[in-house]
Amino acid sequence: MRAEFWGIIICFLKGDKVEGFIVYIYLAMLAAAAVGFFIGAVKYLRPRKPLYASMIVLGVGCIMIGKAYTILRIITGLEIEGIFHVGMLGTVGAFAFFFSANFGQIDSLVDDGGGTFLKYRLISLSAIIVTAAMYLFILLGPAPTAEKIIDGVVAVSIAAASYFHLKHIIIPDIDYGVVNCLRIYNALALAYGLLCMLEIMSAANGGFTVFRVTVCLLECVVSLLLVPAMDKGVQKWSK
Amino acid sequence: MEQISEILFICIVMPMIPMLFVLPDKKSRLFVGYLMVGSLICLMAGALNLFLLQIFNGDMLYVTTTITPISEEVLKAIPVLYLAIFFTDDRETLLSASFALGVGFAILEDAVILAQNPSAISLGWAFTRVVGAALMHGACTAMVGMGMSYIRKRRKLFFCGTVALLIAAILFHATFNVLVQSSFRIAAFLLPMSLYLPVIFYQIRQRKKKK
Repeated sequence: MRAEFWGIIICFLKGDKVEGFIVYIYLAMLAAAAVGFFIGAVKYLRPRKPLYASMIVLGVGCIMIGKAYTILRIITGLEIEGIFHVGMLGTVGAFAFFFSANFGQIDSLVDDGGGTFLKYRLISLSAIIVTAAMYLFILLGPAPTAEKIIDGVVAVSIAAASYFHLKHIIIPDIDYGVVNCLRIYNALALAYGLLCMLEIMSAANGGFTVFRVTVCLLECVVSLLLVPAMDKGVQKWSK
Repeated sequence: MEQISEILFICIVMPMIPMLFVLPDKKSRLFVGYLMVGSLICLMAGALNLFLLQIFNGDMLYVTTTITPISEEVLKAIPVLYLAIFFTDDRETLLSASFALGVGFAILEDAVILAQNPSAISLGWAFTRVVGAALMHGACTAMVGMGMSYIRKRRKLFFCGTVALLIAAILFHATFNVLVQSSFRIAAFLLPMSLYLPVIFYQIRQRKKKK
């Protein structure tokens, strides 16, 4: 087992395509999301805790189950690329929760929809434009049409959430100070969205490369830090 | 027997209808009603899944691990959404009604599997169905019901929050279905337990506190 493990890594570093390596990467991603989720679940998945925090924790939970499902598909010999599978919904679910938390819970505290913050709303659109540009790259690539459609659904969820992540990083928060406390979390969530798009891009443009591994490892780190960063922010605002 | 699902539905669910008129309190009626609705949803899901199986060229493995979790969770969520939108946002009511719906679904599903393949059925099968599939259906629907009680009053949260909850339930259901068909079958039975037990411990503690 140990020899097999190192054998796969050596083959991969030599440039040989080794599908088995994907399992290790996904396992690392699962472990990172699981640690984040359990830290958050113990603290926030109970009544009388901020709904915002619970939603972020559930979002990380979606990442965790999505990765677990993908690993199981690989182990049971089912395909994970070029077809629709539920593992992709892990990312969609995560960003649906992140979007709901920011849009439904926090946004109205800093933005009344008036002209004062128009500048920040317009700048935040750049997150959507960047995601759309990355998706355009996928559209022009060699991936099958079905994969392009599914990637489109994932891109929409990332774009919608990223708009609010970027907005909550740059918008001034004078009245309540809640968004101020969550800037680090929002920066990490924005980075996670970007990394997810990069992973989809590299997957759509050919196999399992060193670039994709690097992106996946960065995803591990960011998904691990999401809940602690949010927790720190929530503790600051509730002081 | 071509209409086995319909026959089982009539045999299991129809006797509950007279009971609805006898039950004295509203909550019991709601609970039994949602148990029946769960079985009805199972009947509908069975027909829909057969249709989906035809669309995907009879690829049973792909359909059960990818498509049926979506179709079943969406169908199960509709009555829960109806209850949450038009009648109540009380957490306990939504939780018990949605759990009853999930269990009602599982009861008919178990009965259909049993009737279709009686030679492969054993006591072990029955216990694993109870701990695994029945609890999974209950837990997934209860997850949506519980979540609805938090987001129902917030207009901005309602749509995106419902979608997010549904996706979480679909992921959970699909992971269970893949686990059941893998060599990690035992984990499939631990998965619903991992969601169910913390909720039960919490409820028991809350009840003790109230006393």
